[in-house]
Amino acid sequence: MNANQTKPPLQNQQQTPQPGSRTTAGFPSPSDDYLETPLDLNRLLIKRPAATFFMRASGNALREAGIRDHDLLIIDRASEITHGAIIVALIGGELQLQRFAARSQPNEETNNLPYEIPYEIWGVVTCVIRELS
Amino acid sequence: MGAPLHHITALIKSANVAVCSSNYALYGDMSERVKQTLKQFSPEIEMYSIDEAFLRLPANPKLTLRAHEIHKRVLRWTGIPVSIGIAETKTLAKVASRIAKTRTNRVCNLLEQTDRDKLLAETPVTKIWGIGKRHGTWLKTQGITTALQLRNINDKRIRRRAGVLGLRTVWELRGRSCLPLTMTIPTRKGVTCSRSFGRRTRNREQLREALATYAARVGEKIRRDGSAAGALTVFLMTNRFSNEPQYSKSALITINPPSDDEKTLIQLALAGLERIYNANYRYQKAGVTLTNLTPINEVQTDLFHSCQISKAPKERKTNTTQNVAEHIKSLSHILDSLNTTHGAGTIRYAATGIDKPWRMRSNYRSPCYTTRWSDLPRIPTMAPTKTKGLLTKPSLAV
Repeated sequence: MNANQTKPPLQNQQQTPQPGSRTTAGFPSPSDDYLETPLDLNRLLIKRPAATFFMRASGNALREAGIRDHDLLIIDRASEITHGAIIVALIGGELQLQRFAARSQPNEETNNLPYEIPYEIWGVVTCVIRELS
Repeated sequence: MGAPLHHITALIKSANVAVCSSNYALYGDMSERVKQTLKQFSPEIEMYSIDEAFLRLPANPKLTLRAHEIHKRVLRWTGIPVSIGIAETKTLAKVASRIAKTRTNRVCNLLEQTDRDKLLAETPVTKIWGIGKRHGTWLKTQGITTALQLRNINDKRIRRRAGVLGLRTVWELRGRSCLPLTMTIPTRKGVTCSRSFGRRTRNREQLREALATYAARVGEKIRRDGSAAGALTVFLMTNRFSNEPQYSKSALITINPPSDDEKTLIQLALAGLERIYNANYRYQKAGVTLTNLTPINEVQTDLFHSCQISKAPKERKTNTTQNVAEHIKSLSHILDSLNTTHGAGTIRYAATGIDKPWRMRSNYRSPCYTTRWSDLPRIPTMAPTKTKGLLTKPSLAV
């Protein structure tokens, strides 16, 4: 390992409001004092970029949760795990999407493992993104 | 021990071994995530390499607890288990992190260890940062094989043999900090792009493509740093391990005035190749190095050369040669921004080749799960069932 490093990519630069609507009229635009940054989906949907990953859903078994085949999912590994959350579970070395049921709150509709199988939670699905086309 | 894949194909098959080629895009992204997570614990962080970082933390009795928190959070957020070593100096911290690797809780705080001397006596001297094989061999002749013995060495002796860097290492082992945290990345002195070929080649055309590609890559790097190069070196090598005749040559070309222009660098690299190419050999490795780097705004031109630097285009008044040259100069920056926006390799000089048969074969590379939309993992959905089942207490995935 050497100490030569490259600079980090510039993708995560914070956008600052620019007086973009400079007019040629000579006087400043009336909106200059009210500028706000444009809407940014990253800031809206991703709370912890370091812990956020993207995956695609395969299959329609969780349609009732609003997840369809090929949907883009935002997974947060640091998110709190609540009863009923849709989680990415690691079972037997494979990742699966399931609804989580906390043991103290058994609920017939959400328990979904017929046997007592040890599993691990890889992350929590926080958003579903679907392009309509 | 390690072995090249093509030597053990039978074993791979019979033992059903999974093969994974390296995926640097993925590793780089994961490294960045770990760094962002670590930053939450201290604003003073030095990313030493792709997988190592130094953090400065205020001394307090709860440091070990903090280290456990760091380990836990990095593991939860990124899935990467890290080892943490704590000490007064960087060199000792590295010793501590090596010890931490062997512990189940992955933390070693030398500040709290009462048996520090014993731990140092168990650390081989060659494992100390700054002491490699070379110094290790001499130290062995002097009877010094452990970190503890090195710590107790006479200052004059180590200074005479290993210079001021060696002395600093010893002082650091004693707890005296000599290496401050470097938070600014030092400017490059030189940058190289070189690769071993997937297949040995003597094909001049393929070598031209390869070197043009490497020249383009180093050009991108120095433009990103805001530098221009004053010298370019091209080198070719045969396979050291083969029984074939060996050939290793390089050509150094001065660039006056210094340039960061992609077209210039590619042309010079190809010219260099002509000087050293010998059709009688099969080459395994080639590369381009740029040295004599100067910041772009400090480049000294001379009276007789038109300036070959990629500046932003000035207002074009007439179509003189000078203005055409300036227009081409800015082309490098336009290429850079197109490749940044639309992906690496979107637009490039034809000399860098289309098919690139000489390229490294990454036949078994794992997908770029975190940097390409097309490589996202597809996870099957499982339906909730109505049967009453029991979930065991989940543990968080590692």
